[in-house]
Amino acid sequence: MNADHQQGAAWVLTDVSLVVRGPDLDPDEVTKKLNIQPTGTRLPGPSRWGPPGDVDGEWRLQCDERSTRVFPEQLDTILTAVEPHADDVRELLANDVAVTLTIRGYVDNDSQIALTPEQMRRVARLGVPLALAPSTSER
Amino acid sequence: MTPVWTSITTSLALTGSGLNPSAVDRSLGLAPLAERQTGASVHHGPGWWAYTLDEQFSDDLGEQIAALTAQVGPLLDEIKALTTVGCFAQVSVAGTVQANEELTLSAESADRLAALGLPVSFTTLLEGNTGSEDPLDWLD
Repeated sequence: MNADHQQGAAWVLTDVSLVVRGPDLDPDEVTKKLNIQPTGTRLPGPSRWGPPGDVDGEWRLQCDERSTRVFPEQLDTILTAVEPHADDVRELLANDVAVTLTIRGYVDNDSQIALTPEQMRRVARLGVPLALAPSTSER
Repeated sequence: MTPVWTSITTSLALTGSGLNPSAVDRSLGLAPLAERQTGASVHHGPGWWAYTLDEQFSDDLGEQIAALTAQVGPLLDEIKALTTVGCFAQVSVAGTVQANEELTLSAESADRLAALGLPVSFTTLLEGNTGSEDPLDWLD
């Protein structure tokens, strides 16, 4: 949706990621299975940067403002990259890992982000949960 | 466990400068359903109309979406007729958000929403910032 102020401001500085997480996750195994080069990985174990107690390994394919600031283009980029590997993504879900299509962005009170019917169909076809992870802190 | 959004609502929302709330009520017939169903309500104002399921119906997003899509699915022809005369129809999910709280839409819920074929929006409400008890603040 365009900046339609009648219905609240849009989320800003969005990014869209396919995120694979698990306590015993080997990011290299995910890279091999999906045959996609991630934009970031983390081995399981305590992290200097993550929240305390978060020891999951992580594999992430992310599209952020370095490619485009436009949310529909970010979503399209990730879906287009992942859709050919949808069967492998769903096989990952069967193991002890969490897979999400994650949308992040900065929000205020009454901030909205919208998916078109076609975007919703593509997300549904991929078959992984959609995680909405807004950040409320000051930019 | 990642903390999650609270006070979640799922609505069928129609907006449009020429929207006539009583015509929408007549066309969709959801008001009687709202009257006899706990946690369901119809609200409207200048240029907007909404049928909402709130946490009194269920605090589970998946249950809200299952119910709303089941109730709205049979009305798609009527909704399409309203959109051809200038209304914008969408499913709106809203919730109160604090730092690092996520909302997860299950693959099953995504399926139901995709099958409905309407745009879907997600609106964040910040605690202590709404200034009112109006759960439909996001429509202003």
